[in-house]
Amino acid sequence: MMTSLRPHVAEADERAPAWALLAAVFEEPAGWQSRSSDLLYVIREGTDIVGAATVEPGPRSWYIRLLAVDPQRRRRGLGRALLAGIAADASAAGAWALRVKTFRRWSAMQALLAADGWHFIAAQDDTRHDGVAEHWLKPLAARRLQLGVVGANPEGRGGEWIAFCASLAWTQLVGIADTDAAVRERWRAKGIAAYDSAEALLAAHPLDAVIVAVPPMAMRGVQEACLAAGVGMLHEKPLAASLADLLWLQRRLSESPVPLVVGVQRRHHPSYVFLRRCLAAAPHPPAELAIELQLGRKPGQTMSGFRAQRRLAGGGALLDLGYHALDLATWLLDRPLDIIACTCSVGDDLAGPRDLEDRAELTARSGPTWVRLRIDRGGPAKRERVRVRLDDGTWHADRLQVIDPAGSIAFRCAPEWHQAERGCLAELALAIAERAAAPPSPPDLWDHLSILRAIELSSGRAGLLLGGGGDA
Amino acid sequence: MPDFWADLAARNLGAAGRHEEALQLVRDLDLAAILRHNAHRSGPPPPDPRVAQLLAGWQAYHRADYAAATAAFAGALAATDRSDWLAAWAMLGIAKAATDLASWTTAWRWCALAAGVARFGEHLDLLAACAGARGEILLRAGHPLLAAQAFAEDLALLPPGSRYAGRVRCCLAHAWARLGERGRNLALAAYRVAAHTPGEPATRDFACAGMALLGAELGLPSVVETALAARPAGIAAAWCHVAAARLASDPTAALHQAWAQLPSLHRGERRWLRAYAAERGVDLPGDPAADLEAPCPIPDPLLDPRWPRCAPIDADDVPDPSPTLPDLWSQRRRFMP
Repeated sequence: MMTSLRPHVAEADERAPAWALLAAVFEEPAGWQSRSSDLLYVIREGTDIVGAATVEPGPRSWYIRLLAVDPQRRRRGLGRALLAGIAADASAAGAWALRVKTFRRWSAMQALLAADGWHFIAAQDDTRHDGVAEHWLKPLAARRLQLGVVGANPEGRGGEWIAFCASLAWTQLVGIADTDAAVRERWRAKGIAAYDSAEALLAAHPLDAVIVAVPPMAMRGVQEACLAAGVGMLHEKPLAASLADLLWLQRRLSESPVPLVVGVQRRHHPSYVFLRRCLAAAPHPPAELAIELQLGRKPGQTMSGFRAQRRLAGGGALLDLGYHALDLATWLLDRPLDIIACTCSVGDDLAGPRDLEDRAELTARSGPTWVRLRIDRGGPAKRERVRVRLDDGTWHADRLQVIDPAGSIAFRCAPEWHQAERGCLAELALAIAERAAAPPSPPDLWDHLSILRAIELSSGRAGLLLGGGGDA
Repeated sequence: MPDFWADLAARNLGAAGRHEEALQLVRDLDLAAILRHNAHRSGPPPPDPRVAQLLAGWQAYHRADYAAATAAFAGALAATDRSDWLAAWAMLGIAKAATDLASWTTAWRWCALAAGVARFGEHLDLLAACAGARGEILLRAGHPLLAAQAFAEDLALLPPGSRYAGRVRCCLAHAWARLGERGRNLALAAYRVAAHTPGEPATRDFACAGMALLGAELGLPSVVETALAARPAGIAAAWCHVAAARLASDPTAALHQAWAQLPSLHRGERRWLRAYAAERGVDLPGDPAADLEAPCPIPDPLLDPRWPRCAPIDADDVPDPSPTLPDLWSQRRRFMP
């Protein structure tokens, strides 16, 4: 009998035992989830089928529907071998991503994916198994994601994205666009094509997506260009400078859908992903959530760049740093926030609606959870911490670790943003990959609508407290 | 006559689906008989002894007898389950007494505990009161911006038409008054709104006092005169006279009037006023030693073994007391208004 630890598409005589293995592992009728167009991969050991997977091939990505290894033969690299074989065939066919959806109860699968270089993208409610489905993605190096960056300030987020894209094997930075001639010259000197507008960049290169890292007040023009070109966007937060602009974007996306991912990195940072899983697994929602973000500035240092100009920034600490806190709270709790009270300040004075506030204190309610956010763009030290009060006590989290109520470190990771940036790009790749199957509908667009509404409700709120409708 | 409401509740006709029967019962109801019955009922049932103890605590607190107040609150707390709203009320009382004694850390912790219990039980009225108490601690400890947020939260949580709305607006104005130019402008408007907010009569007096002190700091004699013309009473009147004294070239008369109006139970304020008068070259009557009394010991909740797992997230945010204030006038900010 043939012995093959190399996965292959099942022969006719291998199909029945392969389906039997899948049915036994998943405790479901054989083939119930399969389609006739699916490929059935197997691994044999002697006469036995020891691993099997069903795969839906596609032009951009291949979707692994089911994957199982004989429970008696686990921890021998069979799962990884199956994945490698599927990846090789997908690459050869021109696809540049593998996708899989798994459930929390399949912990061995999650461990396998994490060890095999896959990216956790998102969790979503599902009626099957334990009720929470997890999307994972693995970009393939055969075809690299063609990216452009609009807003390429070397000192800002654009510069960070350019460096990061260059460091990945599955992305290719094709060109940048920036209105500043000096910035363009700087990138040209490094061999990167540079243009003075998003339109020029999009006209010159066939791109998969554009990373938008421009000041809020310049966003709408770039969005219009991407939508007109049908090109996806990885959009630095905020998604718009105002609620009105975001409603415009929502309408335009419904008319001409393009893949869209918002680069709020905390959603992709491992420690916060872990915390969110803990909250989802808790029997009751948290009673309280407190988030504190402090940027940290040296004494005497003032806000510089576009953030110091209302004409470009569109808002102060609430739109800038507060957006992260509001997004993190909304995402952790999986519910929008209702603002109860907010106080914004410039230095030691109250901020008016036309000021660029540098601090904000915000109290809100999200379902049964009381939320307190503290934002400070000018504090003496950089600080970031999240505290959540659950039935069993208070959990603490930051970018370094998650600490459980007993004071033990429940999770630890590197604090750098690169993992989160990789997650954002992977989510973008997934959105582009899925585009062929169904029109994209950014599921978190509603979150951003509620965040911008909260920011607009919170700005200049002091005057409302006198009982009238005026601003401070 | 049997108690109709108790009878209806016992039978729970509506819930049992017997709507017609319930409706008939309502139609047959003799309202006049019920009113007569209620008129002849003996008074309300005797209060829960813990409530009586708490009320005694609050009476002592308002007399500025913090030792008696703390003892009463602690007694009620010892007899109460920690998730009970009465526990939150007692904790709030201890927090308020500690605040008046400038024990910021202890006050903050008790206040955070009270808020945690109130949040857990969804007691919005208590939660609003806790937000106000937190604001007071922050204001006295020298954090007016955080105090403004706490008072704004208090105001937002109050039900529409609450009798406390004026008081909270007044507190919010106190916080704004200690901020920069925009805050001060807003505070002047807020004092005026608070003075005309129906509810508690004392609100008008405290709004006048706050307005007068702010007017004095801004060098606006007309604001101080307007506040004095409203004839506030008690400690509010005393603060108005202090404001007049700040602007006067000869503060003697105003400071003596302030002293006469300042009730002796406000020991901290009296100590400050005596020091301020001395700085302005004015001797106030009475024995300075009488203003000094040993502070009341307030139990620290984190040392209390009955509350080991009840530390809410606010407890970590103990406010630092403001650094040594540069002059006596700045130290006035430790008081309300």
